[in-house]
Amino acid sequence: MHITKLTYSVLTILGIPQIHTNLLWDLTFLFLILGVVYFISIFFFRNKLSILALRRKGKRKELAPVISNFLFHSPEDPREEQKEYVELKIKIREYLADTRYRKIISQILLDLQKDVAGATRERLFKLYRELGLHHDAFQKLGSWRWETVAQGILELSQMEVSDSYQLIRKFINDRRGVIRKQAELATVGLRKDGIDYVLDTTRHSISEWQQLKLIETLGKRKNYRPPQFKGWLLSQNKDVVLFALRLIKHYNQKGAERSINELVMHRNDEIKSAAIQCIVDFNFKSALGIFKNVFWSSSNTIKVGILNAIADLGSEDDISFLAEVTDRESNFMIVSKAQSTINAIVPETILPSKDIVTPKNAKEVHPVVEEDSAVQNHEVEEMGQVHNAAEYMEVEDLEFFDEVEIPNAREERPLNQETKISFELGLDEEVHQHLEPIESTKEDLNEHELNMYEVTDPIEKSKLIDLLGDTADDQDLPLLEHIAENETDSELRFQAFKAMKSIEKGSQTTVPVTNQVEKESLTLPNHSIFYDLYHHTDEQDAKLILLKEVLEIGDQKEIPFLESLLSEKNKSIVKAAKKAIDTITAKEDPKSNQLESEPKEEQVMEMSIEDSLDHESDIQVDDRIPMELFLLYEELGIESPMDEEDKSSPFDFEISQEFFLDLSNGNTDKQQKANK
Amino acid sequence: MNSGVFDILVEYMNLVFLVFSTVLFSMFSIMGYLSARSSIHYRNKNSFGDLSKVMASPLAPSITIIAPAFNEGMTIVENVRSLLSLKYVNYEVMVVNDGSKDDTLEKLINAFNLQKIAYSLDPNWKSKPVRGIYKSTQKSFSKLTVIDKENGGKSDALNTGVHLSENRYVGCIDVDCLLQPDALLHVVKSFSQRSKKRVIAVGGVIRVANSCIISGGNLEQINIPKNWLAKFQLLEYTRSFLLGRMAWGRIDSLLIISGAFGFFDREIALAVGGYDTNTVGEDMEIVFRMRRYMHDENIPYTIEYIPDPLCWTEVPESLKVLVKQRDRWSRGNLETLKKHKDMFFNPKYGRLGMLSYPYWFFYEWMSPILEFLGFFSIILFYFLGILNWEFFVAITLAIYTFSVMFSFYAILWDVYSYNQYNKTKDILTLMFCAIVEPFFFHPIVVWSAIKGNYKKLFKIKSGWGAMTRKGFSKAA
Repeated sequence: MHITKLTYSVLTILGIPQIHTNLLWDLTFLFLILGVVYFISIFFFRNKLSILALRRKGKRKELAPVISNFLFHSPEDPREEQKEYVELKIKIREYLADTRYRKIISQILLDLQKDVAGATRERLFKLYRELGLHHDAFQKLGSWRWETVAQGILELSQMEVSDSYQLIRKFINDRRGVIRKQAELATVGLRKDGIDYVLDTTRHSISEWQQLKLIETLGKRKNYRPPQFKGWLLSQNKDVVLFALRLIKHYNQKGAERSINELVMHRNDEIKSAAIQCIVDFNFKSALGIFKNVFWSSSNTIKVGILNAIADLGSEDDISFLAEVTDRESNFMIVSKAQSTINAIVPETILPSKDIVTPKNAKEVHPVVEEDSAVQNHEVEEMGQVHNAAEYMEVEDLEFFDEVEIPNAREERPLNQETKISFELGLDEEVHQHLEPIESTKEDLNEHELNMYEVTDPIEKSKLIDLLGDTADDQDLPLLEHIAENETDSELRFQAFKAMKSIEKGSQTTVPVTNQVEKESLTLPNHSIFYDLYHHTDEQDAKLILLKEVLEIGDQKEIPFLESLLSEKNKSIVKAAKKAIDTITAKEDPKSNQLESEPKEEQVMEMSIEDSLDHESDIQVDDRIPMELFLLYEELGIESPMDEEDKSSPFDFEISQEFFLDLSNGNTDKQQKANK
Repeated sequence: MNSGVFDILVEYMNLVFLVFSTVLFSMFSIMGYLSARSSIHYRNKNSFGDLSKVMASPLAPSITIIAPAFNEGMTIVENVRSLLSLKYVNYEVMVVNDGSKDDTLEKLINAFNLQKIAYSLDPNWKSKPVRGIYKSTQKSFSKLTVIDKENGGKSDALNTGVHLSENRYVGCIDVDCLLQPDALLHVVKSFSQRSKKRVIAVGGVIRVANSCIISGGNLEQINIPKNWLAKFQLLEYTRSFLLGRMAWGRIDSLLIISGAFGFFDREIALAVGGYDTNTVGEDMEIVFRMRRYMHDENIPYTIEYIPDPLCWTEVPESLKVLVKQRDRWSRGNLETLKKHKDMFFNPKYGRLGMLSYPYWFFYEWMSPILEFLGFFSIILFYFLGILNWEFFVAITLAIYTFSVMFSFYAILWDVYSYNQYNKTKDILTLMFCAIVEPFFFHPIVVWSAIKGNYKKLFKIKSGWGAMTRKGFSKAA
């Protein structure tokens, strides 16, 4: 029996299933009909929409002058105009009888209220009420459609129908979000105490966007005296507390110090964060203790907020806490923030350690520097306020080292005090070596050019500088620098500055290396144009062909790159590299062979120092910038006034770093020439 | 007997196609309904208030637009200028030069007076090394930050931007896209208008800008593309963005935010580790991960979708580029679905696991494969003499009429909601495209998907493929 059933079932499954093809034909027919309906609808709606827009436009055109007559009518107008006014009154009654016209009139008035102010605005509101249009808005409030109710509320609040206040505020806890939000805005806009009512009664959340709009609505009120919002910090509604904090901050109400401090311990991160921000803005130093208490149990975002706050409010007493944070925390962001906070309180407490390379010969150089006191004296003269290289190094080079990406295979280790000192002292010799060429600027000048310039009259001088600016290259920079520094005529000095700038910009465009740091790093192996090509090639044959090319067209720039290949395992590459080095070296002038001692990786640090010293010496040069040039700040990239605390400079403006870079580029060029 | 079994098999195959098609009709009809509801709701909701008033508020939330650039030297300056002229008070434009081989960086430096600044980067953050960060010395360009990094692909560039940004929200866009001036206002509104749920991402409609006239970073005139491939894509984009994504957005099950215009809550984007650099479908993959993260953390959240035409982009006009693009999309789709396969019919992920994922699996990934196989089956059956002609003609016509009807419906909604193409001729052209699309354009899309899947399954290496852009037409 069972077997028979099973056989039957199997046969049923295996049987050919019945597919009612008619159903498919029916569906095809249905889709075809729907397609045709949509086709017609597309053109129907298009026409309908355009016709409606046209009609609306026509009616507006018809009604706009009528409304404007009403709006600007005065009882003192001449008799004829009074008569015309009465006729218009009759005419507008006729219009108002038509619902479509009523809507258009309402719309015109609503649009107009955005553009008028003062007495006209008041008259417009009066006209709205006199025409009974507010009744339409009231009717909208009873609609079952949320968009109609919201539209009604919007109209009543925009036309400042104060009678609607009681009616509208009932919607504050409406379950439909759009109505609720519109009611909140209307309540706040219609009455001065509307905000109190909203904050007291709202049970729903207030989104951030809504908060912004409410603040904006409050801002529109004239002579508005806000209540003390600290009262709502006790609200059970989280969003009300957040909004109260925002309002306290916005209206600068500082009388809630203790309450705000307490909120730092709130369970909700949003409230915590808002309270911290308030504390920072109001400079409540009493919160520092609370910050430390809640720090360890807070989320990372709050921790960062607290550290930022301590950076603003903290003192040296807080350093121990911050040090503890750097020791205990594992999150990079927090450790980094804690370190920067320490430095914000006591500058230069923590020094950069990443990618800092200690020069190999730092200790060897040390005695030389000590012996050669003349070098130090020379540097003191150069640096002005900087008394020794070590101090200079600490103050100025921090950011710079962060910028430099040094391809260094050596083990990274933080500088301990001992190595730091020897390293810093080792700088002196380098400083001396690299400052010398800067001093010898005049030697770089073409004597003939200089003499020619000296004897020329001012007009000719001006033309010459213009010509140099347009056509000259880097070789003319010394002459321009000479003019910029020594010329008595400030206009000519400025022209020379401009010319220098344009030459340097030109050289930046031709060389795709864009700033000082990168220009310096040209000497690194990876800045040989063949470096990238070589490392993108996997095949040995291609590499060998490339090395052959280097041999033929390469110059000194390629030598560090080629030297780095000498350590390759592949013998043929090493051989080819050697050959290329020999050929290039042989090609160059014997004098230029000095470039063989171009900085290698471990010497990059010294170059960085040299570069940063260039910056400093340039600051000295800039002391001589005439005051009358400061109007030209835009041209030279002079920035806004510097911090008041910075008294080191005699000027009340700050020269942009770009400006110094530009000048130091020039100096570096000179140095390179001197090296050659 | 053998013939009988074969007939049964053939009929079962027909049944599979019938069920597949019927489910497709039902799902698309539901999508049409949901998108219509969503469009009307959005329009009514946004008819109040003036966005521009919040624009000037100093309390407005901060946002960073991250635009990765690779060899964009030709257009980069103009594109960045356009981005800098958006109507919003509190935003930053971060251009990430992803190791361009051309003069992209130099052009930016010269045009905006950029200068290298100091920075620190989390050593644990995995992305290609940053070579430098640049800020302008001019106050008028203070909103601009340029990051120069080694080449690592679009995802890597976006990750670097997300990591280095300090703002609450980050927008990942294509640098050559044109954003409408009020785009950020809409985005910020979408992010901050909810308070019960956390908005983790905001996506929007991408419109086709081919043949449109752009002047000073603004869209001067909207035209229908002149190129036929672009016309077909316009219809496809209208259908996909105005109906498909709108419907998924309505039921909060959107699984993709276009890479050309996607905004994220930075904190969540960082919490999930940013974009996946091992997939070409990174825009879809990050949404999957962010959603999963929020589910796992049990935090109420949502993803918002803006139907307003805020982002305009050029679509491929050459067949070769189009095939490459679609090939990449299908690979990305497969990679993402494979990576998150545990979501498939997993009730833990609610609608995502039970509805969105299966839809993507069957109708986005499997559909072209079935179509392709179906096509060959028909030829085979014809030669074997076992083709059920009545069924074949009926189902083909049903699918065809449905596809045309659905395209007409999309055009209708476009006309009703935004009505951007004023000329009747343009609408008729779009309708003509809808009628002929199944014969000309759709086979290309299916072929590209098959190609992509083939490459993926047989592990044939293939990257992004270059998108050659002609550039927007300039106003006279």
